[in-house]
Amino acid sequence: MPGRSPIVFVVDDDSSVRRSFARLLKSAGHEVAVFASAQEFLQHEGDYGPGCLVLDLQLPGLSGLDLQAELAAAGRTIPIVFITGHGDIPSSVKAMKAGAVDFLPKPVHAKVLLDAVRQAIAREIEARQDRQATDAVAARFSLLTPREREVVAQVVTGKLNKQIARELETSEKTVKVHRSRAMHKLGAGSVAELVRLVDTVGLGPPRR
Amino acid sequence: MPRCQTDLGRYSAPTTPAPPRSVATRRGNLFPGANRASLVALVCAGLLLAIVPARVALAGQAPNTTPPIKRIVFLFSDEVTIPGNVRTDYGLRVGFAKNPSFRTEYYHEYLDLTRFGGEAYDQRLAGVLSQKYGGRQPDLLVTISTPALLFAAKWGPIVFPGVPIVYTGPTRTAVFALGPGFNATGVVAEFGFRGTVQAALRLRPQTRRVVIVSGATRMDRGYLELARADLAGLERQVSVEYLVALPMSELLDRVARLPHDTVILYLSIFRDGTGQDFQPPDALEMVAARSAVPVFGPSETYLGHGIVGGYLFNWENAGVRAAGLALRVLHGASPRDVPPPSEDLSSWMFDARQLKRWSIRERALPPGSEVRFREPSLWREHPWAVLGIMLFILAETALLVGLAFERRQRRRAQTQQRLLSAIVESSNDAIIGIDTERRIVSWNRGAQSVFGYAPEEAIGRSAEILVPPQRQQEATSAFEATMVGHTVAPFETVRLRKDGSPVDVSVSDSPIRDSRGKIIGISSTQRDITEQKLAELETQRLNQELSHVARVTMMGELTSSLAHELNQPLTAILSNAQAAQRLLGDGEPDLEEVREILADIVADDDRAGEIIQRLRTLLRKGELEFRDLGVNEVVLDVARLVRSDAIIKSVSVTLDLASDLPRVRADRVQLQQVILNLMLNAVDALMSRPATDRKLLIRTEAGTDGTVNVAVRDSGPGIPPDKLERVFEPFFTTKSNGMGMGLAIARSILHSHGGRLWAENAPGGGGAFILALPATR
Repeated sequence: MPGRSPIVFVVDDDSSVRRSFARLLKSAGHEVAVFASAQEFLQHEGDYGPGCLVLDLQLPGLSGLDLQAELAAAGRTIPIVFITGHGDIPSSVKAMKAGAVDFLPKPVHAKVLLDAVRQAIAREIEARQDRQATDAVAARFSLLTPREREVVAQVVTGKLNKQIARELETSEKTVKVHRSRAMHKLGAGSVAELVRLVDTVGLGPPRR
Repeated sequence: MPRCQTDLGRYSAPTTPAPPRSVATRRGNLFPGANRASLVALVCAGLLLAIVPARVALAGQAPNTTPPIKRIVFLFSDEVTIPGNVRTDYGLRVGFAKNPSFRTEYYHEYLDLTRFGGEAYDQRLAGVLSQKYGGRQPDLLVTISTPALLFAAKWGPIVFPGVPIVYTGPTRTAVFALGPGFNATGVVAEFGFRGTVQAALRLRPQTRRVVIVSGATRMDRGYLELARADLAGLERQVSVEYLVALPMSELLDRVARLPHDTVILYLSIFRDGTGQDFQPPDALEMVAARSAVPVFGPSETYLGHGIVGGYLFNWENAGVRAAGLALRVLHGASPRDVPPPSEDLSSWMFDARQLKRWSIRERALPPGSEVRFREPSLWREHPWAVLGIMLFILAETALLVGLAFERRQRRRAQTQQRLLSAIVESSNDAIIGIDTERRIVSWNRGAQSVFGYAPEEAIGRSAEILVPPQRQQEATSAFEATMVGHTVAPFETVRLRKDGSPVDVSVSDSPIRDSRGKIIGISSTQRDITEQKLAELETQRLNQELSHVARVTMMGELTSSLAHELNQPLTAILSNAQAAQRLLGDGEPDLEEVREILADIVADDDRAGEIIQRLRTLLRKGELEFRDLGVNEVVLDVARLVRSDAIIKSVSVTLDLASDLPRVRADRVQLQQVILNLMLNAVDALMSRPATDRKLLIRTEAGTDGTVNVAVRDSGPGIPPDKLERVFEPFFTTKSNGMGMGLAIARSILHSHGGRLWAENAPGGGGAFILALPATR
């Protein structure tokens, strides 16, 4: 999957608009998939790889904003470019707050649309890279023993070995051993690096 | 020549009107009478003969054998006009005429003994008679009534020696008083006083008193004595009172005051207590007229003069009988040998008018009673004449009644006609009579003012002069339909005035029939509707204006939706065009792709144009155009306009359109306006609902009564039941920004289409507006 260009999903109930957008996006070299409604998109999105969404705000049935909310609820972080013929401020604010890439009034010029889509794709790529990095860290974390996790969790809060030993009711020496093993497994050269790594993936429950 | 004078006097003496038969008798007397003194008489009568030559000629044919002449002197007790005398005289002559074996000469002597009686008078009278008849003794004396008999008994032997006497009408007492030696025979007057009074008592059972009325002369007193004798013993039955010889005025006062349990027996009044003379029937009339009680009497001569009736003595019959006896005496018999008849000469007779006056029923009268003066007596006497007269009167009456009826009918008809004419004349409408040849036969004032023709200009001309050339066909078929009996319902058309200008009229034609139902023309009522038309046009203009304003207002509401609708094709066009630009910028452009893009651009442009066109149509302010159109197309058009708005407002719109719907005749724009209005209202109503529950259904279907219905249902809160009608009132609105005219206008549009628009609440909640339009065939 790495290196593969994200798909641009176009959701608009107007077939003519849909087709014209598809043509334009294809002319810019994007891979495009079109859907006539939000429901249709939700049903078939899984058939495709990651991508970005060009979404009409006013859709019959499930509206653009509804779809945005639904995706967020499902933990799907797909960048969305909203297109609307009826750009009212409350809707645009709502969309942007919910993480929309852009909010474009119809008719939309090619450059504006393609820029927005490019931005969305970039965001998707970035997100994809983030996801890949996190996955690597998470893999390393999975190598830690439970005791090592506990020690790391204490370390990132800035506690000293002595404090940690008292907390975990063990010796300072033992803490030192776990700490160095964990640092090694995670590939962290310093406490600061360890903190960044923990920040990336989180440690789960014993975080506090 | 005193004798001659006497004879002349004899011929001129009889003043009693003689029955016709006696004329012949006397005629016969002229020649046969010429014995001793007849020549002298002839000479003396020469003048008479000269005057009546015809009589001589007739007499000349008289038979040669002439029967002997008998001279008879009638001695009447009183004067000539007394009814008893008249009747007796007639009876006697009738009796004598029964015998043809001799002819009779009558000499009437009215002795007037009741008024002038007295010894001296009797003597003188006897002297005159003696002198008169001394040379010509009669063959017979006939005395009438009592005084004359007494006179004859006393003076007869001197004045008329040896002349036999036959009497009629004296009282039995008088005859008895003369004694058996008196050689006379005759008929006595037997008055049935007792019978009469007893009958009166029976007829008036309430009677307690009998009042006997009599006069002051000897004759009166004689009758009174007779009555007294006859009524002896009556006092034991009832009280008896006498009003005798009273002054007439007093008598009348007395009878007028008699109590009701009384009857009067009137005997006679020849003279009253003041000495005034009367004829008894006349006095009776006065008494009866004033009497408070019924009056009875003894003599037939009283009948008809006021008595109810009684057992009445008949003087005429007595005369006839006496004449019978006299004839036998004239034949030579001695009076002594001729016995008076034993028959009763009285009979029960009554006066119908009096019976009626005193409420006495005829059935109560004695058997054999004769009732005279019956009201319908004419019928009895002259049945055919009466029948004829009655028929005539009937016919006359029928005719009169008929005429009166007809006159009344005619007058009523005339009144009605006048009234009708007045109504017709005063009408502002033209009311025109047209005959079967389609000529104008009547022309009212209204016609003159509508068309400008004066009556004399219009009447007689063809009704076609009022019809413009392009309407002739229509007018002709209306005329023909009316002539076969149809009444043409009012229709609006155009007619021509005299000056050739058109006039809008409403025409109604109906046939005019004669009394037998035959159509003899038509009555055409034509109302000038120019002003009505103008008013209608003005109303229509205002309505169109208003509905236009309403449409424009609705368009305002739809602006964002319409903008979106337009944006779609514009968006597609722009993107397509730019995609094409990019394609063409490549080294090897995909021309097929470019061609497709251009086709899409054209299609989108068309689409935008359609939207603009639709908008323009809705915003247009034009004439109405009624066409046959499909309701579904109109609904789709409107749904397209509302689509964006509905989407923006999260309203889901469902169209449920029936196929095979009949078409309707309507103005497309107005129909769109109505449906648009209903849909926008529904969308508004749905805004109070959560976004997931905003449903709008538009359904078209064929109605049950030949209509095509469009129902616009929403899932909103519905309409309060009390507002279901009010929502159609002008200025009724629930919206803060609404004018409140939309539904009022929508309904008036439906009305002008002959359709209906109403609101209802759906059973499952939500409101619905339904419009129904008549389907075209």
